[in-house]
Amino acid sequence: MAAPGGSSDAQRRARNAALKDYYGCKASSEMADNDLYNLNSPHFNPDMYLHQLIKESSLTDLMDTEANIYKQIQSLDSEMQTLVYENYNKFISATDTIRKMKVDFKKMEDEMERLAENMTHITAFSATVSDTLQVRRDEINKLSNTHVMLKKLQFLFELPAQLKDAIDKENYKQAVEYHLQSERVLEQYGTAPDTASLQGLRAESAQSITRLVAALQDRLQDDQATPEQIRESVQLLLQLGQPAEALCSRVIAHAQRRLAGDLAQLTSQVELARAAADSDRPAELRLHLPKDVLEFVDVDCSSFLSNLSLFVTSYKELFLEPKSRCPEAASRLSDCVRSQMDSLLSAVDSRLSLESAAGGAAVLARALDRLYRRLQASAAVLPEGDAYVRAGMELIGGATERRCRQSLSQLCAHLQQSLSAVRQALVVPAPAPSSAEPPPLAEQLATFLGGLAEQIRATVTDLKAFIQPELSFGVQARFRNTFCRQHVRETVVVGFFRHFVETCRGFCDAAGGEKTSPSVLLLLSRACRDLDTSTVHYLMNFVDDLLRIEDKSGLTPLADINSEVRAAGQQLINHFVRVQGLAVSQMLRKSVATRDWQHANEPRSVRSVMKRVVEELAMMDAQVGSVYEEGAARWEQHNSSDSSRRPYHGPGSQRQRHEWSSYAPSQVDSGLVANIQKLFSERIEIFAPVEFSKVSILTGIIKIALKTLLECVRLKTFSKFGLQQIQVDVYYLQVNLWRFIADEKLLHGLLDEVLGSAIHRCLQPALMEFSVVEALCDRG
Amino acid sequence: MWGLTLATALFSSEDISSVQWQLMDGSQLLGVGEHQLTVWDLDTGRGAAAVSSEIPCPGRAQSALTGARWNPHQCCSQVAAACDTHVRGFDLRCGQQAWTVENADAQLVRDLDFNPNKQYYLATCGDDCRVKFWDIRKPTAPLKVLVDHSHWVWRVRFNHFHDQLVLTSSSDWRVLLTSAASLSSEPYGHLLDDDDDGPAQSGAQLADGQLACCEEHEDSVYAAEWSSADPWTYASLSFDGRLVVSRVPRQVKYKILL
Repeated sequence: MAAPGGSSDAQRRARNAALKDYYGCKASSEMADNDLYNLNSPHFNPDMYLHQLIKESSLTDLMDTEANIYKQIQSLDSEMQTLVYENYNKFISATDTIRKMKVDFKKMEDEMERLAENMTHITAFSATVSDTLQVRRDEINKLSNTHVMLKKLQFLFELPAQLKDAIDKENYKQAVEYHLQSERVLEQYGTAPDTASLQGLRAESAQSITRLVAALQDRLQDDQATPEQIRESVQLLLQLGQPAEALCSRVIAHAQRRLAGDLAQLTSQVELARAAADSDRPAELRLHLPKDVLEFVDVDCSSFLSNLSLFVTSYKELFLEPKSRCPEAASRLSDCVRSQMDSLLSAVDSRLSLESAAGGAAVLARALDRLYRRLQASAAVLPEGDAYVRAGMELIGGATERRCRQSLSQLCAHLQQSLSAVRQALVVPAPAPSSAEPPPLAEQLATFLGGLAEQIRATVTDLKAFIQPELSFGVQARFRNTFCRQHVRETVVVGFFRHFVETCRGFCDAAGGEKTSPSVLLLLSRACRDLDTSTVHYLMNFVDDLLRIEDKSGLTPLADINSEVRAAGQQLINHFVRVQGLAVSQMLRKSVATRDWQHANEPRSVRSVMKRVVEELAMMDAQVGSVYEEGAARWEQHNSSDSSRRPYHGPGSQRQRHEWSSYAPSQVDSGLVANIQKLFSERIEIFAPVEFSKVSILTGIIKIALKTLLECVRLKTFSKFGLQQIQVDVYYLQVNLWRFIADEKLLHGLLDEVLGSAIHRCLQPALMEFSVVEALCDRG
Repeated sequence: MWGLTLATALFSSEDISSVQWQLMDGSQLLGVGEHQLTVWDLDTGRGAAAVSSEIPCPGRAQSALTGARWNPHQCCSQVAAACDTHVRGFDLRCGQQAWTVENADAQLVRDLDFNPNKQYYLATCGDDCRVKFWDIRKPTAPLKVLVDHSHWVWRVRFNHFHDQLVLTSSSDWRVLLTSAASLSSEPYGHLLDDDDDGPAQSGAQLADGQLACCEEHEDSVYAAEWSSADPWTYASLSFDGRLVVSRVPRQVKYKILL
C-alpha cells in the first residue's frame, strides 16, 4: 500500500459516512443536539428548549409559539380523553368474559375425575383376563411350529419327483428354485442324527441336479438357442454354483459361433460384390446380385452389431455386474469383441473398396452415415467402444478418399472420351475453305469446355454428399477439413487440372504429337486459354464456395494452376504452329527438291503447289479464325493492299535492274540496299513462340514455310527459266499471303531473300518483266 | 593453275556432293553420291585411283544422302551416312550395313560426327533444330539432346582434342559452342590433376551447357569446322560468303586445361 495515512483516513471516513447514510442513522452527537430541542423526541429538554426559544425568538414569535403550543396541548388532551374512554369499555367486557369462564371450568374438572376412576377399573380387569389365557397360548405356539416342520419335511420328500417333473418339462428355473430351497432345508437338518432317509433324498436330488446341469450345459452348446435362453441357463448355472470361468468361456464360444454366422453372411456379400465387379465370372454366379452398399450396411452390419451388443450386454449382466465373477471375464470379453470388430471392419472395408464410382456418392454417404451411427450406438455398450468409432472414422476417411480418387479417374476417363469425341468430330467433316457453314471447331470447343466444367461441377456436387450436415460424420471438423481441402480440392479438382495439363503436354511430345490432328491441338490450346482466363477461376471459386473453404494456406493457389494451364496452352499453340508449318514446308520442300530446275521450261503459270500452299494457309486461317481472335491490328490495311503489289527490288544484277527501275524509284544499288536493310532488320526467330491470336499464329506458320523454301532454293541450281519460275511463285505468294500476316515487312524480307538466293544460285540470272509476272499471277 | 597438276581423276556413276579423306593415312577417299557411297583406293605413288567399293544406301527414291563420315575408330573400317531421317553405318570390309539409328531426326538428318576420342559415340543434327548424341550400341534413345537452335542445324563437329567442345551451325544465323562434358572422353577433367587438389578443383569443372554463341553472321551458317592445327580455333561460313574465325573463350580454355 503506497498510499499515505492521511488519505487512507479520509477514505475510511467517507466509507463510514456512506454506510451510515445507507443505514439511516445520524452521527450520534448531532442527533443528541437535535433531539434536545425536538418536542416529539424522547430526549426533549423543556428547559433548554424554553431557554433557546426565549433567546432566539422575538416577542411576537414567542406569543405565536405560546398560542401554538397551547392549541397543541388542548388537542392532545382531548385525544387522550377519547382513548381512555374507549379502553375502559373494552376492559369492562373483558372482565365479564373472565367471570363466565370461571364457572365453566369447575364443571369440567368434575368430569375428568370420573374418567380417571373408570380407567383404573378397566386395567384391573384386563390383568385378570391375560392371566387366565397364558397357558393356552404356549400350546398353540408349539403346534404351529410342528406344522411348519411337517410342511418342510413333506417338501423334502416330494422334492425328487418335483425336480424330475420340472426338468422333464424344461422348467429349469422352477427346478433350480426347488433345489436351492431344499439345499437350505437339508443344511438345517444336515447335522441331525436320524438322516438315513434324508441322505437318500439328498442323493436323489443330486442326481436330478446333475441332469439339470447337463441339460443346461447342452443348451449352451446348442447353436439354435436364443440369447435369452442362454442368459437364463447361465444364470441358473451360476446359481447352481458352477465355475464362472468355464461358463464365460462357453458363453463367449457360443457368441462367437453365432456371430460367425453373421460374419459369413457379410463375407458372402463381399464375395458377391467382388464377383459382380469382376465381369469375367461365369453368369450363374452373377445371378445372385449383391445387395447395394446401403443395404449391406443397413441390414448385415446392423444385425451383426446388434447381435454383438446384445451379447455384450447379457455377458456384462451375467459376469461383470455388480461385481466381476471371474478375474479374466472383462479381458476375455474385450478380446472377443476386438477380434469380432476387427473382422467386421475388415469385411466392411473390403466391401467399401469394391464400391464403384458409378452409383452416386449419396448412397455411399448414407451407407457410411448408417455405419457410423451404428458404431456410435454400439460404442456405449462395447468395451473400448471409442476405439471402434475411431477405426470406423478411419474407414470412412479411407472410403471417401478412395471415392475421390475414383472421381478423379472418372474425370480423366471423361476427358479422354471427350477428347476422342472431339477428334472424331473434327476428322469426319473436312470443311472446304469456301464452304459457307462455319467450321465445327468453335462449336466443338464450346461443347468440350462446357462438358469439362459441367463434369467437374457435377463431380464436386456429388462429392458434397459426404459433408451434408445431416450426416453424423460429416459434421466433424477434422474429417470435413481433410475431405474438403485435401481430397476434393487438391486430389480431385487440382489433380484433374494437372492431369489435363499433362495430357496436353503429351500431345506436344514428339512421340504422341505426330498422330494428333492439328485441329485438336488448336482446340486444346484454345481450351487451355479459356481455362486460364475464366474457367479455372470460376471452377475453383465454385468449389471453394461449395465446400466453404476459406483458409487457403497450404492449398495450391489459383495462380499456380492458371500459370500451368497457360504454359500448356502456349506449348500447344507452339506445337500447332510447328506441325502446320512443317506440313506446309514439306509441300514446298518436295516441290523444290523434285523438280529439275536446270532444264525448266519458260514459266507459263504459277506452279500448282503454290496455289495449294495458299489454299492450305487459307484453310488454316479459317480454322484458327474460328477459334482465335484476330489479334494485334494488322499492318495498316490500305497500305498493305497497295504494297502487296510491290515489285521485287532485291539484290539483282545491274542488267535486270533497269527493267524494274520504274517501280522502284530510288535504287542506286539494290544489292547494297538489301544488305543495309538486313543490317537494320531484326533477326527472325523462325520457331519462336507465338501469341494467342490468329495473325500471330499464321505468321508463325508462314515464317516456317518460307524459311524452308529459302533453304531448299539454296540447295538447287537454276537456269534462267527456273529462276523466272521462282520469281512468279514468289510474286504469287507475296500477293496472296499478306492478308494472313502481321508484319508485312517480314514477309517481304523473307520472299526477297528467296528470290535473292535463287538469283545467286542461277547460271544466267535474268528476271522476267514485272508486267508479265503480274499477268501470269492474275491469270492463276 | 598455279603449278598444280591433276594427279588422278575419280569416276563415279552418280553426282558426288562431297568427298572426304580417310582419317588414318589418307589412302582412301569417300564420296557421297545421291543414293550411294563410293570409296576409292588411292595409289599416291603412281597417281592412280580405283573404286574400292560402291555401297548403295537403302531408302526411298526421293531421299538423297545428305552426308557421310568416316568412323575414326577401328582403323577406319566403317563409314556412317545420313539418309533421310536415319543414320546408317556400313562396314567397308563386307560392304554391308552394320548398324542403324532409326529416326535420328524428326525431319531430316543434315550432318553427323563421330566422337574422335570415344568409341561408339556419335552426334547428329538436322531439321528438327536439335543436336542429338547417340551411343550406336544402343540406338533406341539419344543420350542427350540440345535444343538451343531455332532453325535447322546444318553442321555438328566435335573438337578433335577436347571432345567436350561441340560446334554447331544453323540456319538461324548462329554458331554455338556447347559443352557436352558429361559425354566426353574426359568427363572429370584430367585424372592426374585430381591427385594434387581433388575437391578444390571439382568446383571449377566444366559443366554441360552453352559456352559461346557467335552471332556475327547475317545469314544461314552452312559450315563450321575446328582448326586442325589449333584446338582452340574454329571457323564458320555463312551463305553471304562471310567466314568468321573464332576462338574458344579464355575461361573455358583454362577450365579444360587446369
